[in-house]
Amino acid sequence: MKSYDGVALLSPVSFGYSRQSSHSAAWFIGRTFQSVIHGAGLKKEDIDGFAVTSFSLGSDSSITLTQQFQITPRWIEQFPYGGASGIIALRRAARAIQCGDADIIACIGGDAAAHRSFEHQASIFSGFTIDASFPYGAGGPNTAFSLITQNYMEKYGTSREDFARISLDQRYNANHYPAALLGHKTLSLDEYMNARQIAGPLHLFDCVMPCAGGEGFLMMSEDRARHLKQPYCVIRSAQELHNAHPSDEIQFRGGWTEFVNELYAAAQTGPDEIDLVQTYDDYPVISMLQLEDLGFCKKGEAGKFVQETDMRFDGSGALNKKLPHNTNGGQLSVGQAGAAGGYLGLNETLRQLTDTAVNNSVPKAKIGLISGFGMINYDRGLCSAAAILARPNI
Amino acid sequence: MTTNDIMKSRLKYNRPSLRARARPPKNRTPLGEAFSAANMGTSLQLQCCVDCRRFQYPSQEVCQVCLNDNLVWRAAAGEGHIISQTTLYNSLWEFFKRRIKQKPWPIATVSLDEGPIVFAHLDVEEFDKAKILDVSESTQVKVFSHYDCSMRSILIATSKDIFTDTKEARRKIVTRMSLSEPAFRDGGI
Ligand SMILES: [Zn+2]
Repeated sequence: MKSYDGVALLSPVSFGYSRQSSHSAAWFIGRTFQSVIHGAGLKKEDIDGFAVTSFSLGSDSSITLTQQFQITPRWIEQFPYGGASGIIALRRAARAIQCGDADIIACIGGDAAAHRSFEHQASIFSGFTIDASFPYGAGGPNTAFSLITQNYMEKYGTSREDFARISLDQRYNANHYPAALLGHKTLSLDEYMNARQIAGPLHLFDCVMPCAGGEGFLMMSEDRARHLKQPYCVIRSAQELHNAHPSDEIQFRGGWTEFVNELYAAAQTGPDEIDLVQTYDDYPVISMLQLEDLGFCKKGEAGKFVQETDMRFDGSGALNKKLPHNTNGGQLSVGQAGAAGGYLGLNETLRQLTDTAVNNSVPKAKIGLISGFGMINYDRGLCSAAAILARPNI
Repeated sequence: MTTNDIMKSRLKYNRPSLRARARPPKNRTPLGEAFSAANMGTSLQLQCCVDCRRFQYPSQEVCQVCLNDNLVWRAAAGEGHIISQTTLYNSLWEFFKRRIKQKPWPIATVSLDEGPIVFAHLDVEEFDKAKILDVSESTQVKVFSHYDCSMRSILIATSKDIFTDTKEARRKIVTRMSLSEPAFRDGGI
């Protein structure tokens, strides 16, 4: 695969996270778009590529938004891939820039959260969902994930205390990230263990909280980014694979297993050299699958791994092994702003590698790995993606 | 009105449903409706590709293997094993919310010997009650279809030793699982 050399990512924006909102998705996308442009010292007219991700645009789309925002892009895209959208947007936009199809691309994810909109989205998510999973208790994504979690626990002997490690360290990270919706609250092991039961082994702090919000970033050539005198980072490698392992009866791995070697080889690095990791964490078990499949530990051993590893951004935990993980609290503590959730880890990595993280910066971070997981359809998640980003010239 | 006022007025309506009768989800795609119709009064009918002789579920427009549309409804035995099972303590749907207030709602994914993986309501009463938690991976079950009180066909997984060959036997199980009548609310409208 051709490298992603010469492409820069910059101007990460996380905008307007709120539990419920009367604003529509177009508002979140428009306001995020504005911040992304201004953050890089650009004007709307400078943007000639426009990519959008949203679950709640209704009858609008990236193309109708061009009219609302009065922009005239020569490259346009829409990525309805949930938690993998950020990395997929990054891959497509990088190629467009390398090929000269666009010079400056804005990638924006944004979702509204009107009252009861989540119920509606969950009930009509896909044909399979409507016909064959929603009628069975209408648990939304909690149902599929409780089945996956239950199976994982039985198969590998993982305990709730193991899952708690992920939720607790992430909450510590969120306590240092002001935009996190749950960042003002601490979380203790007792509170985690005694939380309200939601579905099978899943309790309250195992489940993401749907919310409204926007995430966005810019992509352009490294030359252009240098010219703008903006801090940026580069793509060492990026991969995706969809509907991987279709004959697995239940999900215990994702598409990462099939490209992990190539991912590290192209980036000339390995799991030991990664300074920070952002996994897609709608439920702790999914973060564990990613840590395993991306080579941080063997299959089935993520429970042991998290018990031995301090995952706080500042390494202030008691454990000796350190791996800053979901350094702004991840979706479990920040909130899941619909499909914008797929941009959250990417933007957090961008902030870390451009020294724009404020209270939660990972000391001396040079290289970061982001993983995306998206579209829980029927019994499993369909999209797997990962990218390795780095500071330029290291 | 400020954003805050709009929020407040919306939250005012964030109350439990006042309907006297709540029923399971009615909404299906046209393929889901076809599945419901094909299964009325039978034990289990699944989509089958005439060319590949292979069952598939959920219902689809074309065969997953050969992509032909030579699909017919064919009787399936419904035997299989549990892949994973769970109990729901939370639901997005009023019918299940009311049921869950009485007891958590058990469901499972089942791998049918005939191929497909299905979601099913789990008839825990028919497993040894003391061993409900042992209803897990590899427990042998039988899956049959029946209509719920929304007149949509749904799948039930029960112990493979239970007699389900007659309509009466199947109806008895569905009634016991409280799927055949709405979830009532006293004083509802
Ligand atoms: Zn076929």
